[in-house]
This record gives sequence, structure tokens and C-alpha cells, in this order.
Amino acid sequence: MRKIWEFTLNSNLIKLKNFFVVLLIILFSSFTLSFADDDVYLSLSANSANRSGIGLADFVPVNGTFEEMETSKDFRDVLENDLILSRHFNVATANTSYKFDMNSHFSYWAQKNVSVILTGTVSVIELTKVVVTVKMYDVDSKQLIWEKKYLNTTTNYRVIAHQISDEIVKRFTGEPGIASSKIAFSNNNTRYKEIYVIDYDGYNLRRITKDNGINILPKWVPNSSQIIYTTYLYHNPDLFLIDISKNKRKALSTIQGLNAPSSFSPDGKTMVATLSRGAYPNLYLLDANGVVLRRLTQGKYIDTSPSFSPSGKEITFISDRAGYPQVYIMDIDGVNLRRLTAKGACDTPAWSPRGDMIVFTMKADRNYDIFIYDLPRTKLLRLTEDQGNNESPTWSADGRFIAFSSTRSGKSEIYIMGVDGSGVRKLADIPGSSFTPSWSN
Amino acid sequence: MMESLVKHKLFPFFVFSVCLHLFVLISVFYNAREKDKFIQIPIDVNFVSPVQTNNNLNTDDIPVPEKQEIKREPEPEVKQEIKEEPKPEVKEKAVETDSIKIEDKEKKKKKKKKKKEKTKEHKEKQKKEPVKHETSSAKQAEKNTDISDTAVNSTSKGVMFDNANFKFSYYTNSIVKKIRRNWRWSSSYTVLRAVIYFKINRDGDIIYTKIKESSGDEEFDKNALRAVLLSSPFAPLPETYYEEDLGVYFEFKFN
Repeated sequence: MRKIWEFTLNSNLIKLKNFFVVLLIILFSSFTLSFADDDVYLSLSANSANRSGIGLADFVPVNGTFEEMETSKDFRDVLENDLILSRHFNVATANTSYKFDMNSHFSYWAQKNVSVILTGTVSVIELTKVVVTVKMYDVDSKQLIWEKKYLNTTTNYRVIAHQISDEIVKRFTGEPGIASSKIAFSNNNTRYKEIYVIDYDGYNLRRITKDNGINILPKWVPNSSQIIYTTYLYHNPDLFLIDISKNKRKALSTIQGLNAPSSFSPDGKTMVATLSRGAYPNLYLLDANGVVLRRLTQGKYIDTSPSFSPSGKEITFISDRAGYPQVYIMDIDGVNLRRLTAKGACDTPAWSPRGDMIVFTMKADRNYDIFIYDLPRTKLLRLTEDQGNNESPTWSADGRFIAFSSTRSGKSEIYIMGVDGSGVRKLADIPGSSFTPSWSN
Repeated sequence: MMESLVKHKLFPFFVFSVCLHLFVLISVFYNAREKDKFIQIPIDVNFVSPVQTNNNLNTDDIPVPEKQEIKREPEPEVKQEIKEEPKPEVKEKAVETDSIKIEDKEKKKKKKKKKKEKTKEHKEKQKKEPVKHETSSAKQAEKNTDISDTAVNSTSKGVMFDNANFKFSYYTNSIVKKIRRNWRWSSSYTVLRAVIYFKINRDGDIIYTKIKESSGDEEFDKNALRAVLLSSPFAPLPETYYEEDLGVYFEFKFN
């Protein structure tokens, strides 16, 4: 009897064993399955560097004068820099020994793995005007893709290069480039705070206000050459608008108390501003001339730093209604309030031009750093870490870059990085400390 | 027998073990399923999809590690012939049937490895045979994908224009890139294939879309169409292409 028992036991054990083996196999296979999926994901994100090749050939000086040769070279350098900064392209240039020859032209460039070639001419007229013709060829079919003539003053050859770069980006992606964009910021080099404007590539710095006072928080009006900012010119933080092309300014909102800018709606017709009116700073909807249309928030909270969504239907802003400053989203009619962040001290949210992300400053540990809230994925991504305080992020018009101020060098300066936090570059070496950049579109 | 099993002193442990395993199993499946839902394209400043298709065979592009030093046996000779021959046929066919080849979208990871090796080989080849460079990068890319195709399976992927004279390969690439950026795929798809037809006007806007060949999976079709529509506007048509619009057949394929 006992023997039989043992036997059945043993056979059962064997069956058990088999069962375990099967279980193990199932488990193992399911693990490998899930890992396989992860692997796909990883390998996907690992191979993302895929840019178009552009061959930048010479821009031939038509008359061959000294000025033309200089301008041609300078112009080409600016264009090359623009194309590289766009991060759409791998730019190939010809060797110095290369001589233009129509027959070997295309095969020469095909060797460099480029899909199009840029070439053209530069001529200087009466020492003050420059004419640039640009031609873009398809290397494969050897056909002309695009051709255009640009005319400007010799001092503005950078403008032409920026325009050409933008056109090329458009001809590759269907979306406008940002090479003609500018960045406004405030700087304390004069011991006061004044508004400055600089090209996106760090050239062409201009001082906009000359009040010897406090002028802060510049913001571009969409699709215009106007900037709104807060000034203490009349001993109250008033909201002013300045047109940098006409060099004219006017007061927008001078209500007693804080008048802080604010965000224009994408159509430029309305804006949201923080007004205190002697009480708690709340959000108000203003028209483009500074007339209050309606009040958006109320209560004994501080609501600041509004930023419109690209649809113009929602705003994101900072409120301390939770007891400490957090990022909120609200419909433009003042309803549907939602809180995005859960911790830290947040500031200066900005809605991305594509609408899918909100970038903001948050003090999560010792320093202020730039974070992105990814709306469709409801995920928080950190862009900067352990490099001083990083604040006041602002989007490029194409939503691929973020400009911000950082104290990583010891003083506050403006930097630009990719939307994934990569490729950080200092905008320019500017004396004094620079704050609160705003990127034009 | 069952009785003896139940009465065995190890039985509770057995039950516990089974439960534990089941729990792990279920949680693994559950997690896997959660993850699989529409793999998001990572945020990408390069404006390219994460899917590697060797579209632009730029040496600077593809981060080829030091490993390249490891010379592989030049099995390519055979491969190359394989790819060279079928190509012209395909092209002719394309012209006749109004359909074009392109790249396929997704590769399984194993295939990917193979593909990478292939790419390396191909590159080495390129170095050896500079004559090849006369063909455009796009053609190279096509060839390249062809290689991997033959290596993996004989699927073709494609963009095809209703105007056979449209030869601007940079433009083809820009379309593929842009759509791929908006193409979200789920690993729950099985073998599916859909062809979307759309028309691009001179400014690059989409003026007409149609599901030319349905995959049979409504969701797949919808996603394919969505990827196309999200990609509008495309780049403006080349100035030396004189038609009012360009019709494109775009194949979405999931292997």
C-alpha cells in the first residue's frame, strides 16, 4: 500500500514538475514578449538622428570686387550657421580646392550624401545694396527646385541669409523656420533694467528702452514688431507697448497697482494680464488697447504669468490657491480650472506652439529648473538639472526650441536648448545679467 | 489521484506557488498591455520618426559606433545583385501600374539588427565603390531598404505618385519623414496594409484624401489617415514641377 502511495506521489510530483516547467515556459515567454516590446521602443528612440543633407556650394561674386567677395563669404557663413542651428540638416561644404563645373557638379555633391545643393550669386550695387540670388537643386534629378532674388542694404546681409534659411526649412518640412526670429529680454548692465532685442543667433543686439529706470518682463505681440513690458517710469508698475520698428511707445494699462504682462491671444486681439487694482493680483482679460473686458479669476490668491494656448481657448497660469505656486489650466471664459503640478514652487508657464506641452520653471530641489508637462501623456519631463537656476522659458515659434535664463555661468544669461533639453547654447556674451527672455514668431 | 495530490503535505505550497506565478503572469501581461498601447513617438527635435528606415543614408547621420571596425565577410556581393536586378523592374511596374515603392514603416527588433549590419556592409561597399554615389541618396536609400527587405522578407513599402515624372527625391523623403513623425503604431496590429491616396497642392496643403486600399482594420485605417492629415502642410511643391497638384499613394504597412 505504501509503495503504491509513493508511486502515485512520485508520479504526481512528476506531473507537478511538468506543470512547473510549463508554467516557467509560459512565464519566460511572456517576459520575453514584454521585453521584446520594450526593445522595439528603445531601438526606435535610439535611431532618431535622421537629418536631410544640404550641400552648401559657393555664392559667386558677380563682379568679383573685394566688397562682393567679403559679403559673399560673410553671407554664406550666416546661412550655414542658420541651417545648422535649425537642426533639420546636415550641412556639407565644398573643399577649398573645389572648382565649380557643371558636369561634375552633381556627382561631386552626391558623394557627400546630400539631397539638395544650394548655390547662387552675390552682387553689391553702389556699395550700399546687395543682391543675392539663390538656387536650390535636387541632386538626384539635377532639377531646379527653387530660385529667388533678394535685395537689401549691405549691412543687412544677415537678414537675407535668415530669410533664405527659413525658406529652405519650409521647402523641406512645410513649416516656417525661425531664423528671422528675435529674442527680447531685460538686462541690468546700465545699473537700471532696460529692454533689449537680439537676433535668435546672438547677433544684432539692440537696446530698446532708454529710461534709466526699471523696464522688465518683455513679451512679443504675436506676428508684429511690438513688445509689451512693465515699466516703473511713472513710479507704478504700468503696462506699456513699444513698437521697435517705429520706435514708438504707448501706455496700455496704468491702473494703480500691479500691471504685469501677460500673454496675447494668438490672434493678437485680446490679452490676459495680471492686475492687482489695490487687492490681490488676479487675471483679467484685456483687449489689445488695454481696456479690461472681464475678470477671469477672483479670490484672495495670487494669479500670475498667464500664457495662451495656441488655440486661444485656454490659458495656463500660476496660482498660489493651493498654498504655494502651482501651474493651472483654465478655459478663457474662466471655467474648467485644472491643476497640473503637484509639488514644488512653479513659475512662468508657457504653452507650446503645437499645443501639446507646457514648459515652466519649478523649484523641485535646491534650484529652479525647467520642466515640461506633456499634456497628451500627462507626464512631467525635466530639461535642466544641477546647473544653477534655470528660469523663464519661452518657446520658439516652431516649438522645437526653448530659450531661458540660467545662472550656470555665475550670472543670469540667456540660453537656448532643444525641446528635449539637448544642444544647449549660450545666446551671446552680453555684459550684465539678462532676464526673462521672450521669443518672437 | 487528485485526492492524493490534495492530501499531500506540499499541496498548500503548491497552491501558493501557482497563485504567485499566476499573479506574476497576469501582472506581466497587464503591464505589457499598458505599455503597448500606442507607442508614443519620443519627443524629437530632429523632425524625424524614430523608426529607422535608412532613408537618408548620411554617414554623419546614423551613429555608427566603433564596431564598424569589425569587418564583416563581404557576403554583400550576392545581396547586391539581388537588389540591383529587381529594382528596374519594380520601377517600370510602378510607372505602369501607377504605384510606387517606398520604405516600410516598422521593423521588428531582430530585423533591425540585421538591418544595421546590412547598413554597415552597405556603407563599406559604398566606400569601396565610389561610382555608386552617382545615384541619389534617395535611390541609395531605396536600395538599402531593398536589401534589408530581401533579407527580412520581401515586403515593399512605398510612396508613389500619380505623376510618373515627379523625380524630386528630396521631396519624397520630406513627405515620408513628415508622415512617419505623425504615425503612431500599436504593436497590437498584426500584418496590415493600407494605402492612402492624397493630393498636395502647390503650397503643400492637402486638398484631397481617400483610403485607396483598406487594411480591413478600421482603427489602422483611421490612424493612417490621421497621420496623413496631421502632416499637412507639406513642403511647397518644387518650382520646376508645373502641375497644379501632386497625387501621392502612401502605403502604411505593419509587418
